[in-house]
Amino acid sequence: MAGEAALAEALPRRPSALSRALGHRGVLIGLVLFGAVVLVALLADWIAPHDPVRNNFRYRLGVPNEVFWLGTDRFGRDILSRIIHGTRVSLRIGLMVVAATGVFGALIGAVAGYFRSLDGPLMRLMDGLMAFPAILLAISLAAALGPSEINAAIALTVAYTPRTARVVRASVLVVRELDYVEAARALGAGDAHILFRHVLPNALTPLVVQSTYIFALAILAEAVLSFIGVGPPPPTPSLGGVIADGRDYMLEAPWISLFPGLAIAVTVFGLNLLGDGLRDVLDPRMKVEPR
Amino acid sequence: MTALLTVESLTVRFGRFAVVEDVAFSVAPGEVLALVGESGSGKSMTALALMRLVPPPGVVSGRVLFEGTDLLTLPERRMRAIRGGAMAMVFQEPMTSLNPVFTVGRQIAEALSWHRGLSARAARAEAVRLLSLVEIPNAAARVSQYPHELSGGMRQRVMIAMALACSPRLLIADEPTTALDATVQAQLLDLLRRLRAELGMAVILITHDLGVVSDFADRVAVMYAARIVETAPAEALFAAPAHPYTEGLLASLPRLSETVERLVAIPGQVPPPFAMPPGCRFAPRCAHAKAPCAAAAPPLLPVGEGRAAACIRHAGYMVAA
Repeated sequence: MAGEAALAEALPRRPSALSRALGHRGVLIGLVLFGAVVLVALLADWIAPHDPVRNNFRYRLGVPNEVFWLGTDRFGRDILSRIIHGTRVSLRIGLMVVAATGVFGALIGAVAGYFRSLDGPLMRLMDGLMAFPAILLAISLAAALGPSEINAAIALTVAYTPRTARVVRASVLVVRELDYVEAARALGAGDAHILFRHVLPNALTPLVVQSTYIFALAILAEAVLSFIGVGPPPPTPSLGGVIADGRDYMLEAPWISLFPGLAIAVTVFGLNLLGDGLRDVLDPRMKVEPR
Repeated sequence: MTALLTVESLTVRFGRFAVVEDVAFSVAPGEVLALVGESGSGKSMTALALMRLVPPPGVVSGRVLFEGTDLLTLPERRMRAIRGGAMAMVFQEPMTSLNPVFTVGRQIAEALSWHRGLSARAARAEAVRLLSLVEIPNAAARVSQYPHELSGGMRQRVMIAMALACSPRLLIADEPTTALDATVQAQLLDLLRRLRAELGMAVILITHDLGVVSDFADRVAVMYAARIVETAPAEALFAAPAHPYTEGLLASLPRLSETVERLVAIPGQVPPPFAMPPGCRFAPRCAHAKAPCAAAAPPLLPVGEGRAAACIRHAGYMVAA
């Protein structure tokens, strides 16, 4: 079918979602910022100039200088190295939370949206969780479970799963009414098959967008948990933990808290740009016109 | 000859309103029955009721005997084996009836694997054979394409291929050509006619297009406002309609032989389910309506060889008038 192939070449083609995403300014800037943070986290062992947990009492609360570029904390530990390694911890927690809220949210949302009889009980449970401010819920859970990286991730997953479940449920409610779902049923497909093969794959786009926000929220919330001491225990450097280390020296050594704060800001800003951009690209109806 | 499908007093209710009321008909093996009516007359809902796919909160009652078993009392598990197996359905909207995230081959193969237990490899080969059966050129390449790469006519052919996957003995086609343009419609009807002859399956064709009916159907059942008002062999129906509604439908067909200023239409509209007139539901729009029409609904009674109509103008009713 050489003729057909030639014709296909000649016809205008709708650009793929990927190329449209990369052409979007927000996605591009978000990707660069977040990509840089990810790179730093991945290469932490090689690019960190000092050991992030090694005390050096001769340089306590050191001003930023040519050896310790961002200064040192009260144990003389290098702030730059602690931020670089802290990024790794924060991203790891963010990733765990995104993966777990994605899986649980998709399952709960899909079941609630598809089986009408389970919709009420499941979503009221989610509403119940959402009645607590997410951060308070996460703090109480993390405090109850004890300070550790995994526990922080579990606490944040419980706090944010209702959001992903709602998003998936809303989208399942739309997709379950589509013609191809009825067509599949007319061919003898069972509920499980219809739900996981026909409904869920077509209902996950909003979850992709939601996940970038959850990632950003998880990083912020992890900082909060660490700041009040229910995050990963010291001396593990997480971004929130480093900020907390500087809490008592805000006036004498503001760099301890300032720089990790900036690192969090850049990460979250990049993720939010990415999320907004993906939403524009993947779901044109929700597009917010630039002012 | 025993009927393949016998429907008795089939009723579909949504709350207090019946959208299909006391419908009865039968289909012989290999026969093409056309179910004709306007939008909202209940013909699609009848089809969904046969497949037991009426969406909640719809309630179905009556009997649907398919090869001797009452489908309405069958456990869901066994009903699923019949759907897409012995009894398949093609829908109106080819553009949206395929899942956009899977190739057409995979969607056909799915039905093959769960009804016929074919392996992935065998199912794919069978999908190619089915696509050639529905006259899709270059089927071996098309099988790995996604729905968005196909035109409406092609997609409807794919839907037909999926329906035929397990050699059904009854195919329900719900306005299969309505969403397509005229030339493609004609091609698809030719295809359906050919397949029906080759595979010997019975077809229930749901349509509002009497042109399609005269082309294809052996027998016609005309539905109006949730009830069947007339059944007749296709030729007899077109030659001499027995119910005034059928008469009106035929009169409203534009004819090439006459130059007309305006198309003939039946005055008024189909009554909505919440405002059904008492007695004959067509009476308010009927030119022949008399006093008894509004009093009681005339039952569907035989009016000749293989025909029945629900109208007081026929023998047996005149006494009351």
